[in-house]
Amino acid sequence: MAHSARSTFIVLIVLPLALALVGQESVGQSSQVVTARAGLVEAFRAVQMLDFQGVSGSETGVLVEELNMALSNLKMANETGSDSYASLSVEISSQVSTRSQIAKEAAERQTLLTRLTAYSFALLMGLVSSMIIVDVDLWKRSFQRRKIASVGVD
Amino acid sequence: MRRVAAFFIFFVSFSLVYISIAYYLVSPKAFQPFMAFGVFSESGSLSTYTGGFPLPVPENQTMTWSLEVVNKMGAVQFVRLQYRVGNSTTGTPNNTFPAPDSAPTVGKLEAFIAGGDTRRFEFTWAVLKKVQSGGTVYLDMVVNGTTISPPIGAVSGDNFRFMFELWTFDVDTNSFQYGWQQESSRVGSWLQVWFDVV
Repeated sequence: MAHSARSTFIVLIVLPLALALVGQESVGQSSQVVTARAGLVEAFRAVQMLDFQGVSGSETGVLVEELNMALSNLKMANETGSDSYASLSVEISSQVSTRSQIAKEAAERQTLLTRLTAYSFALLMGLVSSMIIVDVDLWKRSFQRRKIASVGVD
Repeated sequence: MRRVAAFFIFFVSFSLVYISIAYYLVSPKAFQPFMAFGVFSESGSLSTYTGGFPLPVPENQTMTWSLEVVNKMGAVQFVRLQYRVGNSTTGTPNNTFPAPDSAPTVGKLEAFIAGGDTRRFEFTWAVLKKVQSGGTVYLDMVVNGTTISPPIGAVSGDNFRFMFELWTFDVDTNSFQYGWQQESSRVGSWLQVWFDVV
C-alpha cells in the first residue's frame, strides 16, 4: 500500500518535475556551452584521425590530456553555469584542433617520405641484385684474366 | 642483347620481391581492437560479489572503488561509464543493449583515453540512510559527491546492485553509443556488483 502511494507520488510529482528539469537543462544551456561541446567533439575527431594515420602515441598522448582538460572545463561550465569555463574549454579544444592539423600535415609528409624511401631502396636493391647476377660471370672472367696476366709477368 | 634481356628479367623479379618486403614493412600492422574494463575495491577485485554472495555495506561507510578502462582500439576514444542502481528483479545489460530504464542511471563518468592506455576512474559512494517503505528498503546515497535517492528499492535492503556500462562516442552519429565498435557491429560491455545494505 505504502509502496503504491510512493509509486503514485513518483508518477504524479517527481516524473513531471524531472522532465521539466531535463527540458530546462537543455534549453538553459548557454550557446557558449553548446559551442564548447561542438569544439570538443571536433578536436576529438582531429586527434582520432592522427591516431589512424599512425602518429606516435607520445605525440597524441599530450593532445589527449588537453582534451581531458577541455572536458573537465566543460563539465565545470555545466555544473556552475559559468561561461568562463566554457570559453576556456573552447580555447583548449581550438588549440588541440590546430595542433592536430599541423601534426596531421607533418605525419602525411613523413608517411610519403618513408614510403618513397622504402620503395626507392627496394628498386635500388633490385638493380644491384640483378647487376650482380648478370655481371658476376664477367667479373669472374676478368678476375681470372688478371690472375693469368700476373702469373705470366712473374 | 641476351645480357640486356636477362638483366631486365632479373631486375623486374628482384624489384617485385623487394617492393613486397617494403610494402609489408611500411604498412600498418593488423591487430584485433578491443576495449575492456574492470571494477576494483581497495583490497582487490569485486568480481566475487555476485547475486548469491553480495557485498555487505553498512550505512555511512564510504566505499572507495576504482573503475579501470583499457583502450586497445588503436586510437583515442571518448568514453562514458554510466552507472545504474538495480535490484534482483531489474533487467541487466547484455552484449547488445544497455539495461532497461527500470534500472535508473544515477551518474556517469567521462574521459578521453589515448590508444593503448588504461584510465582509472575513482568511484566513491556511501549509503547515507535506509528508507523503509513496507518491507522494501529505499536508499539515500552519495555517489562521487552527488547525493541521490534512486527510485528503486529492495526487500529488506538485500540484493541491490550497481551496474556499470561502457559507452563510447561514435563520430558518425555524433552521440554516445552503448559498447564499442568492432568492425561492423558494436560490442556491449558491462559489469555489476551486488550489495546488501546491513
